[in-house]
Amino acid sequence: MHDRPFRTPPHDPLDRRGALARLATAALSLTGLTAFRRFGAEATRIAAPKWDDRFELAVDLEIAPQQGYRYHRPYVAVWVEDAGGRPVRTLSLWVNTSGRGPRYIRELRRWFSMDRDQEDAGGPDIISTVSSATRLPGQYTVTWNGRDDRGSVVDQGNYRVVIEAAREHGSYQLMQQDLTLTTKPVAADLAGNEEIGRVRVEYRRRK
Amino acid sequence: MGYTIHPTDRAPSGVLADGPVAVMTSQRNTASADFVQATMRRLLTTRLERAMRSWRRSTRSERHFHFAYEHVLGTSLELRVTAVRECAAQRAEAETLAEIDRLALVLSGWSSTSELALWLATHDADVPVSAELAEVLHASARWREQTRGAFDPAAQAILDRLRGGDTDDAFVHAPGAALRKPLWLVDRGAGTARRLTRRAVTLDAIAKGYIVARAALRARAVEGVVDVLLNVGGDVQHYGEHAVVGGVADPIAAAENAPPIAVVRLRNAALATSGGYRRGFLLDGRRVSHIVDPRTARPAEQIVSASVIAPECTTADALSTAFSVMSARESVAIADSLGDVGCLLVEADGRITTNKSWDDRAVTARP
Repeated sequence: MHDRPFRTPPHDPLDRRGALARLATAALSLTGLTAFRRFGAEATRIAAPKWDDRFELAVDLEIAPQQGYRYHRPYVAVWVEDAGGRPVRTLSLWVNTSGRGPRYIRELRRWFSMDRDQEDAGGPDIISTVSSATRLPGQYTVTWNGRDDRGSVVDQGNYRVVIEAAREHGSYQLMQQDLTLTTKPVAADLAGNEEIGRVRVEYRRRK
Repeated sequence: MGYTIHPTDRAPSGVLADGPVAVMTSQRNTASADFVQATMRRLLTTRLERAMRSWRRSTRSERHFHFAYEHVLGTSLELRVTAVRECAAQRAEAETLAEIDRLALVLSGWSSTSELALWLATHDADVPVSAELAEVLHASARWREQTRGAFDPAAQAILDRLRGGDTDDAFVHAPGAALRKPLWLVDRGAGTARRLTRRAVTLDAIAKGYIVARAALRARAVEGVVDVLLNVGGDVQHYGEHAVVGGVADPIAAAENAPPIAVVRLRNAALATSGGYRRGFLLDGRRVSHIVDPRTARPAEQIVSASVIAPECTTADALSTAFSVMSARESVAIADSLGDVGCLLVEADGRITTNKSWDDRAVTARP
């Protein structure tokens, strides 16, 4: 389930191949020849080394100031796609842009699952807010630890960081940066626009 | 048989009744009957209360609203309101911003026309001041005394010199000076304040907490609002019925989607954090905290993050600043002496210290 209402991912030509491979594997396993499973699914993918856990990908972005006065924060979504254009991990900042009803999906804090009614029954809680040293206005950082949305480790390789921003009575902006993530630090600065003033995407060693 | 009105401890407010709850009782004289009577009364009242509360909740349809702004008080603002109708939430948003604007005109440290700036231009004279400015000046003086100078509005002078590259010790206090020489005298009855010190002072370390507390209170007072959770740049204040869960950012990995270093439950309480990991600066080639220990004129080094839970954000803000420059043990001692204050301190080597008041509110993560 990916929260990206403004775009749909491009059709992936590998999907058909993958589907056929999966059908073949299913047929083979039904006959008990599980040894052939290897040839089914993995033959279509070239083996690549897994994500190096000494590294993390950091996306530093700055919401562009608007006329030096306070303004509604724009809706900003950040996600990572692989070389084929498939979304791998969503790291998004969701904020509602007006008082018009509760739009709040916050993927950021997946540490607890939420239900207010469950709270009375002693169920788990969601973190509603985070206290920190005073934030610099408009500065946000999200990091990627190389896990996909299901939590499994991804391979090293080519990825695309996508940032989407939209503000009510503002503009819509889409920014993308391709990076090759292996065992060497890389960094890229993206040009700013009306909603996002500055973005720095950095593949760096974890602290 | 007759019936008596028994006021409940917490009279249920809202749809059904605002006053005492009527309970049927009998008037027999035997001791056991009295006991049964008392138990029935207790059971009926609590059960009735609980039933009424859940009925109210189900018919009241509380909704959650979220507002976020940038560049408020020089940082970001997030307001979460639980209200029975949308217009109440929007009104709460408007009240919050209005109160912030109003108090910024009084307490702003960077504006040259705020009431504070104009008062700071005076010296050794009883100047009439607003109740809000008097309250913040009085609170600053109180925390300066109670933390023995670890919280000191006059630390600004030291910070200015350090930022300018000057590292001499001209401003080091002798311990106890905080008690001997007050910065100002506030007469809240007469509504005046007299500035005594000539040194540069700033109320930034306490003013933001005060503004957050007042703004949250004003939003909560809006009719139809059940809960208010206001976070301005990391200073959090909650007022309302439902407890909320708040996290403390990890000073080393402070990304938005990084796991918090601690999680606590808050209800009608505030949470503030102080640390140099966002707004530090370079001194002699080293990155140092912008929080200066007024007693040694040096940037805080031992504690990288100090968080405080207190009933009001004013207190939480002042104490978190003070605890950033004190040792963990001193901070715990002061927090414990105040009773309802919890603290969490993260040291440079990663060690975390909390006091009992914090642990009582801590929430353990459930996978």
